[in-house]
Amino acid sequence: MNRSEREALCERVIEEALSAGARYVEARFVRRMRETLAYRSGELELSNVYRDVGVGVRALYEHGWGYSGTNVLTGPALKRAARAAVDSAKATAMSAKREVRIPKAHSGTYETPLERDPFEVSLAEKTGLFAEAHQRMAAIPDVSTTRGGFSGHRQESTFVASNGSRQDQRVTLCGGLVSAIAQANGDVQLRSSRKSFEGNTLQGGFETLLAQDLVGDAERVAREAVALTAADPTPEGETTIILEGSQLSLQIHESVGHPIELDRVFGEEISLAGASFALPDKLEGFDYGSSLVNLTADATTPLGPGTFGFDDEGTPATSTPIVRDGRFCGYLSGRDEAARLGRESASSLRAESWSRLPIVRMVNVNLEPGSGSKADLIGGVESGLLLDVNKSWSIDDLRLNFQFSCEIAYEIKNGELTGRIFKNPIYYGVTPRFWGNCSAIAGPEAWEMWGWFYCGKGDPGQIIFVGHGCAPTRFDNIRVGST
Amino acid sequence: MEGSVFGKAWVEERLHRAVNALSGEVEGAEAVFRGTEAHHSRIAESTLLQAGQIDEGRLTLRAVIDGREARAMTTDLSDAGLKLCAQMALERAKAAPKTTERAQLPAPQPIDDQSAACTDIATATLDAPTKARWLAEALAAHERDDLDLAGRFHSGLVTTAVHSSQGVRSFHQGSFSDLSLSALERPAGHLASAYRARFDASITEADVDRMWREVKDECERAHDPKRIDPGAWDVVMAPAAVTELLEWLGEIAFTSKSVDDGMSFISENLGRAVTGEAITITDDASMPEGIGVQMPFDVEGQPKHRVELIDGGVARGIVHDSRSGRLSGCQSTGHAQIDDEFPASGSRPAHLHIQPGSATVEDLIGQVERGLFITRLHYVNGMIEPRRAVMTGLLRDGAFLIEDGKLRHAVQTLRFTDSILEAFARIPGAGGVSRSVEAHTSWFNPRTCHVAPYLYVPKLAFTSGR
Repeated sequence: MNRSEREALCERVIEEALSAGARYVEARFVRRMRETLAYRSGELELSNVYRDVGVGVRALYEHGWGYSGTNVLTGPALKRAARAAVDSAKATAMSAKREVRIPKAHSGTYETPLERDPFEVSLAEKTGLFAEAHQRMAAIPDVSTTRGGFSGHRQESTFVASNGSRQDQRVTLCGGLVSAIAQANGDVQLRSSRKSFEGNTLQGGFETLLAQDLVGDAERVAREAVALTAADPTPEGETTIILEGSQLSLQIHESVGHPIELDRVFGEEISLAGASFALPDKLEGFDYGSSLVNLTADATTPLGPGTFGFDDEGTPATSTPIVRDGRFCGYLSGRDEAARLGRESASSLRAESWSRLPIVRMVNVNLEPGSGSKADLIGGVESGLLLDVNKSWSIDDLRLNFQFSCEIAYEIKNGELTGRIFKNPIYYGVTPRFWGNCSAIAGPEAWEMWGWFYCGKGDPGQIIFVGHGCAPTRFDNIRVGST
Repeated sequence: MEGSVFGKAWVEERLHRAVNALSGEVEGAEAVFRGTEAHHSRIAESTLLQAGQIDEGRLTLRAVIDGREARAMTTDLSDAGLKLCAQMALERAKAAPKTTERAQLPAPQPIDDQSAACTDIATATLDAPTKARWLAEALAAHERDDLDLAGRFHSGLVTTAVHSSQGVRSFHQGSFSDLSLSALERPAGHLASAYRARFDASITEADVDRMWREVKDECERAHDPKRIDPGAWDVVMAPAAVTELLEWLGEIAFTSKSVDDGMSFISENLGRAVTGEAITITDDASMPEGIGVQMPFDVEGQPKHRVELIDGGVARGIVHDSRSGRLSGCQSTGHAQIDDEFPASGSRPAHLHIQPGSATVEDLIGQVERGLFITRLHYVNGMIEPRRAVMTGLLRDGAFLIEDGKLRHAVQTLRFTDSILEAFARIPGAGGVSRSVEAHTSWFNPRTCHVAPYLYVPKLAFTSGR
């Protein structure tokens, strides 16, 4: 189906919904392609590809929104979907409390810049990477299992609204990882390449995966997995920690990205994901962190999975200050949430696919760089730990009390890494106190983008890809320990 | 069900077409259809905030060639869409490198189609306007008392069907209702709150009415939650809290992947005690308690068998799909999985049960001199140290102090971090487990349903607060 056919299909749905009584309608034709590979101990364990196509409809009746979606693209099914969206809008309108305004129209296109389309790269080339990484990892004694994972994703969406908006977008992501499991010394330990779980999945082509040099990193990963089985547990106490970018990106995600979602702040996510401590009375008058901390929600950052031309209610991509010199100043929002504060949308209304209602989601929530190198950060630490790669995460329903565990802790003494490592490190904190203890952020040379492919929110659940750019960062007086 | 978008004849014709699209080219072809016709509603700020209807059908085709396999999924269910899906599966299977273990499709096994018994038509077709009417009094009552009512109210029809070149022909349809309600003082999440949930094949207006009145009453009792200190607390956990721990146990211990990786506490301990005698865990999708939502077969079309995982604290086994069963020298237990969003492979439990005990809830609370009653947990994570089942999480919604065997005032949140195996080992026999059980689902997956009783767990380690 070409663009004009997709737009025509959306227009048919919109006409049907308008005739059923809607006063404003948005239709999104979404096509998603995903390729997933899982490699285990030298063999391809899983090879999946999917092609998802459907239409989502959001209709406004009086001041209530209704939603529908279908992947049955026949005339009767589309008519059923349009009518269902309006019926649902009539149901929500019965208890709606706030005025909803029809937005201005915006039209345009967006496409991810890329060098090599991941869907055009042969399976042999992809699996060849993991086979080579496996050989290097398996050669290290006591490595019991090796793993590799690849994800390629393309999301094409055609957005048409009854106000005249016409948008067409094509987003491509690619990423992966390798990991090693070692069994020795009565213990089992996992170590991953620079980011665990799905690996670092960024917006771009196959070149983003190659840039991670998984093969070159494989031997280090395996040796550290084995070394961890003989390492001591991380000592309990309060100390200075430096978070590498991979772990820091999840720290930003959980303790900044989610609490600044304005729907959560208003209680719209309370039944499942929870609320937020960052209530509107804190705007412009609350210290989120130390004066070094500057955070931005930016839907335009290169390589960022949260980069696009327009969000899923048609708002052009923006960059929104969240924290400036430590002071809390902004939220992630869509039009309706922002209007409650008299602000403009932060272009953050996103949907997993055609089958989900757009809700407030992260774009790229970035920690702006400071100055100096990682070595400079370490050089300023008399005694502390460098923590790398996430193993577990948990944060309370106001996004205050958190606990993260990492794969490894490297000891720092007198401004240098000693070469000693600790296993099962955990660190604890409460969000504003933690960010208030930020004492140094490395500079632009150390700043990079980290992609999180599986951010979950909403009910029914939605999984979406988001990004966090950051450089290694130091925090003082942090409680650490081990299990 | 008559009127279903994904009716049996249509689904079977699509599956037949998909399998046939590979015939002659492969040594095995398997097509799985997973359809959901759902009415979703979400409640927040004492309004019906979101409402929608989603018709979604997914067809996954597995091609096996020369012992190699690949899967392709599509939601383009047109003839052209199925042809493209077959082409993708075929090309990928051909291109896949050879593996030591040859992929095989399982042979058919007898399965009864219980669709009629599992489908409540009124629940399957419950739409947003009806839900709005059922909830109108609840929304108004909370608003009048300056409380927020929040929650979800999803319902609909789930269709699952499998056809394969080996002769598998499985079809099942069943209704579901997934209702949870929270009553909260404003601003929501910062003060008192209460929570209830139920997951079942049917629901009535009376069920909704009963639940909103319960949460509203409990929220009022929970006014002014007091700060408490971390430390070892004796706790009574309600089923909503227990099923969250149970789901994590399933993930870290009872899947074939967790065993393959050496991360499961089961693998090296078969036949040995891993937790206390009070704990018996099974996976049983027949829902013998008569609550929850059944599922008769898995995505390979294999019947779901009852599997003993932990019996009286002793490790007994894990669940299997056809491949992991073959490698372990046994049959599939009917626990194959497909996850389109996550790169999941191997077997996974989806219907875990903790066997009930002999106590009433009042008996459990009555045993506690000073402790906590936990309605629900928040953000549990079981990946910290899976071989000891170390988990962390927080109290949420209606946590109360227990003193001298009686519920007292509500308490603020605390974080626990403990080995759940060691914690469950402290349960004092069947008298620490309730007779009554509840069914809960996970994060909107109507094909998952876990059942748990109330548990009395002495000395759960709480490690931090706000």
